[in-house]
Amino acid sequence: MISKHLSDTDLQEYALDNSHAETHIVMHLQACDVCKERVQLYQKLFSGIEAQPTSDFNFDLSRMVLSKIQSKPIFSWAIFCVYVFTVTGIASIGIAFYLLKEYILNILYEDSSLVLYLILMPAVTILLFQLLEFYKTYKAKINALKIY
Amino acid sequence: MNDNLETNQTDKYLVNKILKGDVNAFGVIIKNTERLVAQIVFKMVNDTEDRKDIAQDTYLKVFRNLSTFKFQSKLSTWIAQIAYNTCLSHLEKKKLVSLPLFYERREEEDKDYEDIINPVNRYTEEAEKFIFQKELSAILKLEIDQLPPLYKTLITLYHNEELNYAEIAQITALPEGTLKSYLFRARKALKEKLLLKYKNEAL
Repeated sequence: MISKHLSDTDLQEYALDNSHAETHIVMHLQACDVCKERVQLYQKLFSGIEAQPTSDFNFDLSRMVLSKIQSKPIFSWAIFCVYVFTVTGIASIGIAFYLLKEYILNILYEDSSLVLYLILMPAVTILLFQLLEFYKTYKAKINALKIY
Repeated sequence: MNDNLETNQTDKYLVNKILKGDVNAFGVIIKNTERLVAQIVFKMVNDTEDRKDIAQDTYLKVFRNLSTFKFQSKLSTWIAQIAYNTCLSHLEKKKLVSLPLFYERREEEDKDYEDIINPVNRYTEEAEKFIFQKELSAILKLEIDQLPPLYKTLITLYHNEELNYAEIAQITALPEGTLKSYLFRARKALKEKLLLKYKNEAL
């Protein structure tokens, strides 16, 4: 009597493709009716799965999507306002720097630690935001696994 | 291999046409890939209206991001990946996060399973013979539908769509080793459910 049977993984691999099966598996199956039946069960299972009807959408997806794409884009006041405020903001900052440039340059030359601070702070802030984004992405991937 | 090359060239031709403004060419891409998308959406999402919305969202995303696709994979694989991710986002939004990853056996089922795999238990052989005799198709559909969404999707993509592990790994963003392990577990879970269910009928 055979006491140690093939693992489920071996059975499945053999049922999927026996052309590259390892010798010990082939030999075991020749001698073990239990495992042979289990392989046959998996083969029947796989045939049954492959015979399942495919799923189809019962509507004209192509027409639905194309009609959305071809419809004229609606003008968005929100996006327009965002553009206007952004441009206005950048222009205002630029004009302020231009008008106060001598004053700003004097401050920077007198106090070099301020320059260092002005360079380091944005760099550290950007780094912190990047780390936060990495962490959020990691958490999202972990949470996604829970869905399964 | 030649078929793949031809499909790739057709896809490139269609994508170039779309990027030049021929929106109707996108309709051809939809027709060519909607079956694969349907397989994924149907397995991941149960509600009919949600499936419709997801299918539409998928292709709108494909259209918006088509210029970023560099043919590093098949176009159908890329679209399937978008469909899969859209389904995942939908499940997250609906907070359907409590679906079990594995078919979680209860203790008594573990005991049942031990009985089943015991080679001297004649009930195992009876159940197996019973399944052989019965028409598997209807039985399988019911059992597959009860599997967790990921298992259903993996089984469908591998056995029905005949995608290889690399393509499925790209669609699901799972490492190949993990993916193979999940597929083996999914098939085993399916087999066990069938045996458990029909053990009684065989007696």
